[in-house]
Amino acid sequence: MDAGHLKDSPLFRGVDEPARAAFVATMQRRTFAAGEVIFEKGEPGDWLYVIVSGKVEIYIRDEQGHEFTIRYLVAPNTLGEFAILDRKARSASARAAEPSELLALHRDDLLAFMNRRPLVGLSMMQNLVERVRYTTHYLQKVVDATQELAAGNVAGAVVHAEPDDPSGADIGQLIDAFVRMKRSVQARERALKEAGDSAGAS
Amino acid sequence: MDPVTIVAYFIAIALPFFAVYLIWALDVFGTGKLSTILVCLGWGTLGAYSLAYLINTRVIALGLSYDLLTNLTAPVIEEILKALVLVVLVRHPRFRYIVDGTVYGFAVGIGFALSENLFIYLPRSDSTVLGTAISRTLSTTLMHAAASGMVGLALGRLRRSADVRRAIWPVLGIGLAIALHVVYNNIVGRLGGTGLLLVAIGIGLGGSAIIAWQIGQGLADEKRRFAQTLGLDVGVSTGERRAVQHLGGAGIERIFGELGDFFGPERVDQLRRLLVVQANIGILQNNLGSPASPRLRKAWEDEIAAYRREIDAIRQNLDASVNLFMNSVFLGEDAAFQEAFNAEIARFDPTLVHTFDMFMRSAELAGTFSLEQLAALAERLSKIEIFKHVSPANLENLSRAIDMQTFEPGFVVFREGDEGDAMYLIERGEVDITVQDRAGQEKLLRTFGPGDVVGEFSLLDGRPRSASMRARTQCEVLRLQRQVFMRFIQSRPQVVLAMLQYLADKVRYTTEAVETSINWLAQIEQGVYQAVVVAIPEPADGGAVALDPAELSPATAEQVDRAFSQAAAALYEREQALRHAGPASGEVRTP
Repeated sequence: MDAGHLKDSPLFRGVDEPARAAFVATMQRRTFAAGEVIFEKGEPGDWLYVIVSGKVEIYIRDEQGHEFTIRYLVAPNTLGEFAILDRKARSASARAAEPSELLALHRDDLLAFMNRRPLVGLSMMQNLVERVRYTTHYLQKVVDATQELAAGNVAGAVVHAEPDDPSGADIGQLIDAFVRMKRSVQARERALKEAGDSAGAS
Repeated sequence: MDPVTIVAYFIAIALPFFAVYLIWALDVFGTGKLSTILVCLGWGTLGAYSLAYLINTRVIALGLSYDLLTNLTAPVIEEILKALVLVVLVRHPRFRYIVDGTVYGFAVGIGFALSENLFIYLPRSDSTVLGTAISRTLSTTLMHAAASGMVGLALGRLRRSADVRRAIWPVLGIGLAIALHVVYNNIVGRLGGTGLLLVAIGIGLGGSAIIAWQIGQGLADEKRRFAQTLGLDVGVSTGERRAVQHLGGAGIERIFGELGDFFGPERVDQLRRLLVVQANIGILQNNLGSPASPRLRKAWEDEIAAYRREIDAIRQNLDASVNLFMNSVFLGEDAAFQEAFNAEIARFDPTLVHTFDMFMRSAELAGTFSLEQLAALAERLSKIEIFKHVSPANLENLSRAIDMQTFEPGFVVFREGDEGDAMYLIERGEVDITVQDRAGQEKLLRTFGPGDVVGEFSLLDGRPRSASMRARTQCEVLRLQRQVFMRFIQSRPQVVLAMLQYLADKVRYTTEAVETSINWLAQIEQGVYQAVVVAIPEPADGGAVALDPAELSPATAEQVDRAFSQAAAALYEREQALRHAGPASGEVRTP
């Protein structure tokens, strides 16, 4: 794959061109057939994956063994980065939703690379900072707007999303859920009012 | 042929090839390739020798005495002919490294000596005296090699020198070569056996000494040139040098460009790393000169040792010529040059060099706190979440940059919207955190006291302050500036990793909170309110949630859960009211 691919990755954007090429050289290319498991929840996580092509499903199982999809990821997103940073077990499972090509980066290689090119670590840091800020900001907006809606202030119950989300934080899902909720609550209340009105009129 | 003759011929042939093999195996030439060496050898053996033979026979034909030819004209003619190929080679754009000129010269000389021994000396000599044969072969080879080596060196210096008097080099080189040749030819005929051997050794040692001395001089010249490129004229006062340094770091770029031309672009990365590591060793050694706890001292010593190992590993990868060059030009004992050069490297590669430590030294900040105070500060820092993965020694080092500030009551430390340029640790007193509400009224968010931390996340992102901080009482506050902190971490990947770990936790907490939120939103969307009924909301805080990146924790998802639960309860109650409302409720009015 071309190293330019990393340029748009939420985790690695900001890494400069020569470093990107060298970085990609430390990664292993892996292909997964549709349905093939990439990692399971609870496993120790030593690998980070950059999606080159295809689609990856992140899912968990409940106590009854039912599987729930948390999200789908496509290029140029990364998966598994948190387990390799904090050495905790995988918090969810991942499998290829369609034939997918991934670049796998081992924790040791990442650390060695960061030693030689500290800018990579600094870029990752900046990207994560932004992601935390961005997510916190929108989480607050959605909580506030929901509270406004609950207080009956429909005009105040609005969340304006920025056109693009650079952080890979998946804020779009949250905002969509809010918009659907608001629409549904308003429709329900309108229906109840109409029902009440017609009941009153009759 | 008798055995002695065979041995003599064997020596005459084997010796030059052994010498070329040595040059190649030791890899003492920097920019040349083995093929260039073979071209030189070939020129000496065939080109220069044949031309010399032709010219010498013409000279004899003109009636010159054989003695005069041997003792005067032949040395002049031969040295000039041998030098021709060198003149061509040092003009090659890739010729950068003066030692190469010498190596080319050696090869030409060795080649010439090979032909001379094979075609002139050995067929005529008294081949029964093996010692003489060996001495003669050896001494001829050494003489030709040394003479042409000097010419090559001189031409190399001509090429690399910027001096106005540089034209003196080729004159000096060829002059010395001819002189050596003349002296040799004049005495060699009169000597045999041991005497000849001594002459051979003398020529070898003398030639080597002159050449080694000249190589040293040439490398010193290179060093001066590099110093000038950087505006670091050695011998200029520190003040003047500082002034020149502010011209910018383009010099280093040019130097790396030149090193790439010298030794190949693929080696530049290694050389760059070598210089960066060397700079860090120097900086850490300076650190060891200031007071530090045994723990910090040990961390610095360990780091120096690790860098030394890295240097050894890089050097093993580099050829002898590159190491010689780097040693003489960049890694010498000249402390003033080294310090100025380190400063340049730091400007060029700030993320690799410990600029924090340089700053601490130049700002004379090191030593503000006693060792006990530093240990206590490091202990304080280790309790702050952002530093929880950072090693104690690193925290102690970082603590050196903390400054203590005292604020009078009412003093505004920063305002909402100011750049988030520092983290504050409250030591004594209290501060108020306030925001302006929509009506422009000041609203108190909270009050912080001793042990509390304000602006922890600002260290990482520097975003504008979301609130103001004002001293409520007289306060003593420890301040860590973002700029200094970034300088500290950027050359310390293990601290950057600690920050990444801290951030990974934060991302996990937000992910959980986002999932909780999406879950609630979906339930409310579908009108599923069972969860609300089961989980009785606590109305104590009115459901207000103020999310702050620094305060994200496993409790964040619960906090969000509670807020949604309360909102859902309110929505549920309203829907219930609507459901049961008749026209009497007054809720709904139709016009």
